[in-house]
Amino acid sequence: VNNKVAIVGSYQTKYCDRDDTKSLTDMIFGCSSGLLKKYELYRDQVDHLIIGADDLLDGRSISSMVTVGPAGGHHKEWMKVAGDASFAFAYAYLGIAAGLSDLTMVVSWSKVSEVPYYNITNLTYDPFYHRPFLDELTSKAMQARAYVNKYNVTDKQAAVVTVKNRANGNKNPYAHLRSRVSMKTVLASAVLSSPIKTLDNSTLSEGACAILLASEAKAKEFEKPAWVKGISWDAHTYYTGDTDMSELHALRRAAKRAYQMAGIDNPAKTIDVAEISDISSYHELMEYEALGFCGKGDGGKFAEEGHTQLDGKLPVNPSGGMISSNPGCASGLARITETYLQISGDAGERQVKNARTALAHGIQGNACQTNCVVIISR
Amino acid sequence: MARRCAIIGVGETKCATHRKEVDAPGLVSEAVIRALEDAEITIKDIDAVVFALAPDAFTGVANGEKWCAGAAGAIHKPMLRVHTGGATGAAGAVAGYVHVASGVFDTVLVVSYERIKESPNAQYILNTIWDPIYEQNIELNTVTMTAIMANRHMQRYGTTIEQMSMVAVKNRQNAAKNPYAHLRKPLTMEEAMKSPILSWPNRLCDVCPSSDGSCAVIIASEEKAKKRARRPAWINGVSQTGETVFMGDRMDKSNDYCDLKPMEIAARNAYRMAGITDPRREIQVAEVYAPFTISEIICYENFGFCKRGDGGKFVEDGVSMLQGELPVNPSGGVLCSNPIAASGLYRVADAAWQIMGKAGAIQVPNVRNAVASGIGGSYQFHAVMVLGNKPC
Repeated sequence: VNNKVAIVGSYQTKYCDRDDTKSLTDMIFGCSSGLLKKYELYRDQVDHLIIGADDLLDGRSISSMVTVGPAGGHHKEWMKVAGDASFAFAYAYLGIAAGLSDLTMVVSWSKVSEVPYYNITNLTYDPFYHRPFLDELTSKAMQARAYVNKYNVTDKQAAVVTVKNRANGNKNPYAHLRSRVSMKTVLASAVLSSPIKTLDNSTLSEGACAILLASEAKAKEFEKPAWVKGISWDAHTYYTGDTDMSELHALRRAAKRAYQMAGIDNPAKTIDVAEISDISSYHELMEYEALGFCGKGDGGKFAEEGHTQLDGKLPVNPSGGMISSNPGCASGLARITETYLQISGDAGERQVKNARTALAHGIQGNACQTNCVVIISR
Repeated sequence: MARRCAIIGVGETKCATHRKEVDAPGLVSEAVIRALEDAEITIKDIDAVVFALAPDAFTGVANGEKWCAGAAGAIHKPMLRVHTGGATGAAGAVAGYVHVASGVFDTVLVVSYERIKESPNAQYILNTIWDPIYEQNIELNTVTMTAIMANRHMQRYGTTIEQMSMVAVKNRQNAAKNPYAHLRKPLTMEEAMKSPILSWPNRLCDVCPSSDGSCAVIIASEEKAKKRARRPAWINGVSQTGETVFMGDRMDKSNDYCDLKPMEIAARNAYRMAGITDPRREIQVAEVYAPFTISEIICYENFGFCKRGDGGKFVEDGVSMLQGELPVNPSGGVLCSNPIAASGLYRVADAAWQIMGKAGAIQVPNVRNAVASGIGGSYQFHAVMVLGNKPC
């Protein structure tokens, strides 16, 4: 890598069910201008803008036409990376590493109440073989089913994740769902697509999120730089029949490369806190394994033993994760934002003690087809 | 300082109205295999993939890059997708450059495809790019949007219908020599002048076709490029700028809707990076994104080939002809083949071939520097890449 890259700032709105007081452009402008105000910057001081968005989730073709202005891209160098904004973050990282930018702003958002989310995820599938029966929900339920069957993971072990994440969300003023839930309620919630029940599933939220990235020289001007130590992303096959669905292959590969880059041999020991894409509670368990926090098939036990609780040895999703707030494409960026807050000691009531190295993870595509892993450190 | 990098291989499929015999992944694999063959490497040599893909609605499958990941050879590799409307292809090349320049990856594949015929009507979909309340109802589409601009250019700078026809005639003559072009039948000046009106002053001859096509470009670090390619096309300058969507907001003293200011900014940024101070003398060939005759005329001005307002005269003087002093769109350009998302990458690919000396019948002699570009949204996004026969 040519140059070191640091996260030097973040801003997020409170996530909610739907915000009728703001149009899509109002929400985006509020977020990008909020970030600039927070760090007392003028728009001209930021040299690159990277946005992470999806046309169909924004409800129009080439949605960047309308979003690039409010996001801050007028007459500025910019790029739109389609899909989850963790990939937009990765692209912003590359630009600074290449020495093309000193200060880059990454912005993403979700106005999901205005679109039929699951219909859109269904359209990702080809019209003949997959579309008649698969969408984001059913494809992830197939993964969860394959995982549960292979390793005898129980409903209860998965429910531990929901109870934990909702309890964390209760401590996070930005979270969408802030009420705690009991194990009993989770287990009794209605089945959406077996084995995923309503409370096992990630929610859908509106809100926006932005991050500032800086070069080594520029980072000195900011109070709390957090250095990007490792980053990688990976794609897996699209065809669900071509793969063993009980494992998150692309995540395992992305994590391996990110650890290599960061020089991490034992992630369970080195990582102090992780924010991962819990698209369902079962997936959080699968992700523990793919990230090497525990062995294959041990995810359920790892959660049950309390290691990933806020006061455990490796707290996962202190923000409440996607089970508490899932702002569509901004979700990956929200994960990175939380790790930045944790590293900076700005996480308030949900602060993990002595958090020095943190891992964030974003997913894009059905059945976790592409994954991005980011490791940051003080 | 960014790492030096170069294009070492290019693959294009022939543009056509509808490639019925292949699906999207099939089309993508054709371009990818050709690019790998051109670079004389295998998919194992590729470290990461940039997928350049524009509106999902054209192909009828959302996130088509996921569907085509296997065909692009991206499985088990880092892949991300960029999408900046019509500028997407050129933006993909910029993104590929950033991947290698960062030092994280050594060899990157950039791939793009378009399947417009999978949708019932491209202009219907292109209407949905505008605001659902204020703009969609006034029948804005790319043809009418450009008609406003062309009218404005004629009124402000005296550009004529004849000059616009000359752009069409020149490009169709060039396309006749390009085996990958879609419209390959030459057009005479007389035929152009009789061409039926679509939205004044845009006549049928002023407007691009819509095409199926896929293009792939391989970008490598200096070390790899020197090892792999005899004449790599060095990437010396890149830029992509944006602008507000509202056309009325693009009219003030410093900016006019028909001037496309951010294109000038992008060209300037890329030239600065490449150390080009006098583009008219230093650039030997341009492959610019011009889906309409007027867009090519505006490109001449913004790329510094002539003064503001002199674009019409520039084509009239024959400077941009294949045999002219500064050939523009020797491939026939977007006016003769427009696989929308991929068009910008075709421009980069054609420009790279000119540097590499692989352009065949449309080869311009002694090319030292070439420029390629893409335009997206309602002329809002401008991606520019400057290529050279030497690294700067």
